[in-house]
Amino acid sequence: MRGYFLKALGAEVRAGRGLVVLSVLGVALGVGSVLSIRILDQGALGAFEGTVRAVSGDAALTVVGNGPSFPEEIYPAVLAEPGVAAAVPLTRTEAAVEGGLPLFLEVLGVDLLAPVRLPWQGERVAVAGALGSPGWLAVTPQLAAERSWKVGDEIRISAGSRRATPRIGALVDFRKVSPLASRRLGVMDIAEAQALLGPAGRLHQIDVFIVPGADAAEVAGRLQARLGPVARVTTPEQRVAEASGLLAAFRMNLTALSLISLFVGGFLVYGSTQAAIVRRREELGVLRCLGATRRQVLTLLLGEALLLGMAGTALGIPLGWLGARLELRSVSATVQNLYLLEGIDRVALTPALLVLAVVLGVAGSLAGALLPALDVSRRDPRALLASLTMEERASRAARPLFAAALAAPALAALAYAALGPGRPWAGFLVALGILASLPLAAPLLVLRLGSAGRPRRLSFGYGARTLALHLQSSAVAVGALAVAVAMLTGITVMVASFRGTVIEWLDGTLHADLYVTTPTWSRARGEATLSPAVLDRLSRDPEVARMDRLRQTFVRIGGRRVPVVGVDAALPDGGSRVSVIGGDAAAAFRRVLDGEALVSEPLARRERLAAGRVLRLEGSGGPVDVPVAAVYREYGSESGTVLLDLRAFARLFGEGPPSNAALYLVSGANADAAADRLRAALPDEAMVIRTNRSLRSEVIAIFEQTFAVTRLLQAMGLVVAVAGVVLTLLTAARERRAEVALYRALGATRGQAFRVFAGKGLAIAGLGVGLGLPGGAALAWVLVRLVNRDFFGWTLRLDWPLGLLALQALTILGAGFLASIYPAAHASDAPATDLSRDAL
Amino acid sequence: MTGALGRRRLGLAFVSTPVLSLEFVSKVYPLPGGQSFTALDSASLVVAPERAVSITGRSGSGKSTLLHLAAGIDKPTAGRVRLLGRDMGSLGDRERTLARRDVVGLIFQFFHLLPHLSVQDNVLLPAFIGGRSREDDERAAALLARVGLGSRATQPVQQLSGGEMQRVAICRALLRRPRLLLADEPTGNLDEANGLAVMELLLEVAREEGSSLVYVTHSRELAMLADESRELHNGILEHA
Repeated sequence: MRGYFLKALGAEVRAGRGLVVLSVLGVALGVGSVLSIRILDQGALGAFEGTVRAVSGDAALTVVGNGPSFPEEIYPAVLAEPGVAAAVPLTRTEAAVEGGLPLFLEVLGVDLLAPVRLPWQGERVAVAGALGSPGWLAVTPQLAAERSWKVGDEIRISAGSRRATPRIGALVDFRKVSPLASRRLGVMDIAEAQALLGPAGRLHQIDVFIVPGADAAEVAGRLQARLGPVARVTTPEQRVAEASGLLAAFRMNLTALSLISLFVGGFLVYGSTQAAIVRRREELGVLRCLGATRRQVLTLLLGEALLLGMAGTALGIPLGWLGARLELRSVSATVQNLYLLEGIDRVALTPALLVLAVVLGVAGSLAGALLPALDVSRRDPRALLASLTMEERASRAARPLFAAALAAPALAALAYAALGPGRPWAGFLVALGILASLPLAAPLLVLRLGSAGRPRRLSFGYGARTLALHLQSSAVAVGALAVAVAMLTGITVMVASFRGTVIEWLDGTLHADLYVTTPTWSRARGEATLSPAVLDRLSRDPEVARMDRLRQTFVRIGGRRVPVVGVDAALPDGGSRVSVIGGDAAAAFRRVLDGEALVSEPLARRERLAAGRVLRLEGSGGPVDVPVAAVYREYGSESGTVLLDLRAFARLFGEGPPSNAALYLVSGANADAAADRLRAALPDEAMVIRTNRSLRSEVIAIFEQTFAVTRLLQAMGLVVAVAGVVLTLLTAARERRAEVALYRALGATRGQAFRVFAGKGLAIAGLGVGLGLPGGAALAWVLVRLVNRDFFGWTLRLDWPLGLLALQALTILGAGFLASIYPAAHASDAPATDLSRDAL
Repeated sequence: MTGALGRRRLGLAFVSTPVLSLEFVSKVYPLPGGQSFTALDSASLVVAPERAVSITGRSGSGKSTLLHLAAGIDKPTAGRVRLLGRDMGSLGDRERTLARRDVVGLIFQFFHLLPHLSVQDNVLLPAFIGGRSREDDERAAALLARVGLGSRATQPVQQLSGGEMQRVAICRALLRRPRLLLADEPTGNLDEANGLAVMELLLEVAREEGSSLVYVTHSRELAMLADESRELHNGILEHA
């Protein structure tokens, strides 16, 4: 049998070239997409981990603030702790590089003369000259090459509204220490960094080296007790785990996408294997007649699938790598913008990822081929040799499958109710139940179409009605398309609902005419402060009627980093800046003025907070209990937000400058002209002034970028539609060749035979869309009402973009029809002379 | 479109014209290596209206080729095939298909009934192809009643015996009142008793319907039932 296997494989590759290519492409698509997403996922964490390693080296412990920074007086306390061999204080300031493409430099402020040699300090000679050169800054060779910087060049940077012009004093290659370290790291002397970029007298991190033989956990415990609530002692592993937790939702999205690709790839393998088996049915029938066992037939087919899987994997690995490279920029931007983590500079294909790709490709190929291979190996030789097979087994299973289709979402809903609403993953269970029900319902739907009235002509309707004759392949195509359409519909409705909610939220809360901040605000948030000169000039402007100030910091609540925002609650009509849930915003703001807090929805859900409850915040002087005035809508942070009055903020976190200002202009003032005038009046300050309109557009643009994923889903829907129709019709064309020959012998024109098959294609697309749309509507409800609420904590309004959904449905129907042209033309070519004696 | 309408559309004058005539018709199939195989060699045949002609011959003698050429399924390499006076060789695929649909009824040895259709729908298959009318439904019912299967019209075709299946196939061939019935070993898949019964029925209904009949058979006894008998030897058509 082994000799035959090789001969058969060679013949199959020659004769069924199209199907072999489709099968290999299916595996390559699945492997490539999963691999590219795993590479990016690993890259996102790798960049963070690599930078931790490059900066902190072998430090066993790291002291970080519970807020963004902590007072430097802590440093001697750390050194005094028994078991601590050395401690390296660091500042980490985000600085915007001026000129050229937007770029943020993370400037490490380091004690260059510290006795502890940091891992990257190999170039001792260059670093040694730093103290004698004011404004000395070392950058990575990668960044220097990218920006054409040389040692000795001056560059302009800003942190908050402060500007500085350091000189490049050396190139330090952090990647020699850690290959995934960020290329945008820079090094300055710590004192100079504090003086130039701030914050003065504060540190961001202390790396702690413990004495040999000391127990790191024990030292950490003692150190934490000594430092109290103002700082936190962590290990590098904990920091990476926290970053991983921060990215959990994003990684889940990426994983969901890769699973969708895997589903599409698996479907292509299934479809092409089934088509190939139909084409070779007589050959397999002869083999069985000549004594080949069922197991031998199964082994033959699975062996071929294995080899095709390996070929697909070999193609999928470079595809995945290429995909990761192409998506690097956009994923990196999302990681940086939304999660304030390190962007991804480099991606690596590790041996573990290669193993994953091979396992996935081979297993996926075998899984895709298993059902059709098992089915054909179980048939008796007579059935294999007959040209026309009745798909009795599939027909018999249609009703039980439909019952299962009804039961799946019902069981999922019961499980949801039993688990209790509010559990982050419970909503996905219901979504899965809905998606699973669609392919289960497909066979009966196809059968029902077959019995829906008698056609008058041999045309489209006849083709649609006879779809049930190849139930096994057509039901799979309809089911797969329905799943793709449902996912597309669900995500489209969810994105539209989210967009509608965000726009409504912006309309309700963005009332100022101008919003002033700094270039580094998007990265450094509360630390990117506006200078007193800026605030003074803004408040004195004759067209500014009133000015709101915003301060921001971070606290840890329930193990997560949560932004705390301070605004001027005394501002007239201040309540209009928030959308309070189930209450009066003005009344809530009066309570905020009295020192209470507003908490955003995600935080309220996660921590079970409501008006009247108490929220414990770790202030700079220790924990403080703050009563909750109300819960408000806010869609900027997955971890939720706490909103305080500026005075309460200062009591908790100390006095400090704001990072943002919102300006309300006098009636009749032109916002654009006022923005231009203010920019011109403050030429030496790094400042970003946005009008209400431009800020709104930027928010929507970021929103659109975040949900660009829907385009991939649209593409997937089209791939499933086209592949499903092509494969099913090619299978049908092969199976029904004799039938077409009979039609032709009885006087059917080629056009009629074409229309019969095009009708089948339209029916597959129509049933897929018809089943997928209600499934998608149910999925959309679950995503909007359950998943978003339980997983992210957001309440969204439900918007139905009917025009867009209709366009998507029509596009898929059109793709289905176009996809049916080739197989229909191929099928209609069957001449009447093909009506061999044993054909029907 | 009914058969009569089709005839008018084809513009065929058939009052005194033979239904089918083959004039020195040859069919040569090229073989690999530059060789060729002559399936039919300068065959001539005239089938007058309402006449039955039988053709006998061994396997591979060219009987099926002759029927394919007569039905316009295939084109001759040389000579002329005229259906109701019209040269089929000069027609394109679509016109030959329409001529076959409107003028010819085909009956096969292995029945070629579609298992997913009922008895009645199998009979109506040519009407599905040409466009079904209420009249077609009535005619199908009448034909089934004529061959004794009126009560089984709605049954799945797989529940019928071989002889019954061939009777359904005869009804299907007659549905559109064809001028010419072409039957390729219509009893070849039936036992002797059933074969004779089916053959007699076929001749009887063809006569009733006014259709000419050309049938291929291995049986000399059945061949003798026709008005005229021919024999094919290695592609050459001779009088029996």
